[in-house]
Amino acid sequence: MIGCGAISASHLRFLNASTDVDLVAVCDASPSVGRYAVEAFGAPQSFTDAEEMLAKASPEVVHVLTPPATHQALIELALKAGAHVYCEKPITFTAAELEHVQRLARERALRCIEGHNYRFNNQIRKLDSLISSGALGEIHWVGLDLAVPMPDSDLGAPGGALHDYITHASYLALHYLGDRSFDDVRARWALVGDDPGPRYNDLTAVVGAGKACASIRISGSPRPFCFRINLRGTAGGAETDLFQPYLHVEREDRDAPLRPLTDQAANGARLIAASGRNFCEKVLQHSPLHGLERLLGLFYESIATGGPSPVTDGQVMATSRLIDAIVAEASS
Amino acid sequence: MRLFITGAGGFVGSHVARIASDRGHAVVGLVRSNSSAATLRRAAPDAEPILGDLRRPGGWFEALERTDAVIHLVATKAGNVYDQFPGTVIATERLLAEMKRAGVRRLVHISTFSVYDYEAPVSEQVLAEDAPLAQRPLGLTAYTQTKLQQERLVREAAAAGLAVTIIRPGAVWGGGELWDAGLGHVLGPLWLAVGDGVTRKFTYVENCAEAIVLAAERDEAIGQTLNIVDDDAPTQREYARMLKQHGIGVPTGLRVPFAFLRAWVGVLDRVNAKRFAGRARVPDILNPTSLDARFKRLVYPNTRAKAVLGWNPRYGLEEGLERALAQRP
Repeated sequence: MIGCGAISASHLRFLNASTDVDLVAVCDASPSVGRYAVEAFGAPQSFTDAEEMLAKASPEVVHVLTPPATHQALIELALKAGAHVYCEKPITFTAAELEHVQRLARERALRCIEGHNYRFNNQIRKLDSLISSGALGEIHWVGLDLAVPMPDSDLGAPGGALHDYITHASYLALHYLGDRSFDDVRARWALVGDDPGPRYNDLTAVVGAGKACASIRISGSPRPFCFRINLRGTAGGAETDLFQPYLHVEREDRDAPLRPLTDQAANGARLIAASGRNFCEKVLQHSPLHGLERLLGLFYESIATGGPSPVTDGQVMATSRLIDAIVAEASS
Repeated sequence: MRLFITGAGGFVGSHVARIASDRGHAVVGLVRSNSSAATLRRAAPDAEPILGDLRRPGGWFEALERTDAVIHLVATKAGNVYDQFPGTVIATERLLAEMKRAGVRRLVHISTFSVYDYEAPVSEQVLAEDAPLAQRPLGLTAYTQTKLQQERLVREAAAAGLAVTIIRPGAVWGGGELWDAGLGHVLGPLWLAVGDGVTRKFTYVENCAEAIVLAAERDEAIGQTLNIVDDDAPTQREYARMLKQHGIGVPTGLRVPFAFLRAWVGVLDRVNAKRFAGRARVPDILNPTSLDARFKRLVYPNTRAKAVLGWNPRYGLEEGLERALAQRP
């Protein structure tokens, strides 16, 4: 594992709990941070140099959890050392950089995936099953509202601090647009506040794909923080929040004229149940990152069985291309 | 002396900078924002503020090269371990590396009473500098964990030859920090007055700041760890009464016997450990070690600090409060 910052705790919890995976080493530029990972999570050894770690620990899989600007170089090091790679978002800053990385992985028959972890959250799975059951009809509107804590630096990324979250919004937008290719992108970004560090920390974008469109809003200023998802289809709508999970469903059904009423009652009951459940989950630290541990499990399983990756190269590339388009449009 | 003070725009740091300036030292103060720089300028007009962050290269590298000693106050107090690690531990790691590069051989490090092991028995209820440090830090608060890691780095640097003094101030009060000096736990309009008849380990900010500057000046302080607590530390009850007498708003007190709360917190802790493998996240007031650290009936002698530093708390409780009120914005 390269990079032992905040997100590493979820990775280390997964690795500690897994009976099929042995953690062989952690690596961080700060010796203290690496030492903390060793003491708190039982990592067997800690390095401050990635090349040395790759040479001495010979991992079969490398988790790249470092600041985004370092990703490409570290992924290439890991792939050249013969390791599969799981990389936190954004895997690279541009689709062109990603193409290079994916080519390198293909040449070596290795897997290299980006952490599209929210796709594996319970709430997303519930929305997915509603869609696949046909309850919502064909999805035409996708709303993604992220009020999130913004980094105080621009991460060295073209989209500034926005690049820390734009990946999550983009892969979920594409997911609910049915992984169709987008044909129109409108975007504007801004810097809210006096600190110039983030460069951009407020984004509004609209992505069109045929009859459907997705709106994306990302900002560090609204409170409380949320990750709201609002879907509207030809037969109904559904709404959830990944940070304060609940599920609100509305459907229209000619054969069941009382459906709006029964849906309202069910929504009320679900909301009450969600309040209690969310409190317990907060206390027990069942965080919105639970999808990450699920994704890691599927990733390791796919490596062991040779089955398809839980996040495909095509999905990662489509996400990267959408981000390129949003950045280009917002910059123009 | 030429002193480099980290966190010089903070509550304690600005007082340290002023007292150091008043005592004839050339002060360079590292601050993270323009507002902190303004605070430092108001407190110590002769001090030179440098904007920067210990985690990043900047003008402070050059400032260290013209420094005789560093007084290190910077720490992050809010958030989880990973929120506090960069501002407390990584910042210290970088500072120590840069001090070595710049050839600075003297450090006064500001630690905390939180690092002590409050589970360990102490004789006669006396907690002094040689009391053991927390042995099982991972179950402790994020602040305690990161301050322990920070102090560990400093001790490693001392073992490698750096001349170090570790200062552990009690609950520092004064200026804008009249209520929050370890008085108890506030729940909305209520003050949970836990063990409010127990003497608190208070130190008035100017007394504490003077001890820190003396530590930088005195060679006898090298290699020492010193607890800083005033002589006439009041009980919570006395302190709250005194604030009220001076017209300071105090939340309505709800007296909670320490033993009663400690017993319940102990039960909760065991349930958490057995039923939830320790995963349940609870407020600090429900963490047994944190509760002990703040409210256990203990005596905190200041004899070593007095002997080593020739320090005597300059301001008593009443006088400190009058000065604090006069300094309030």
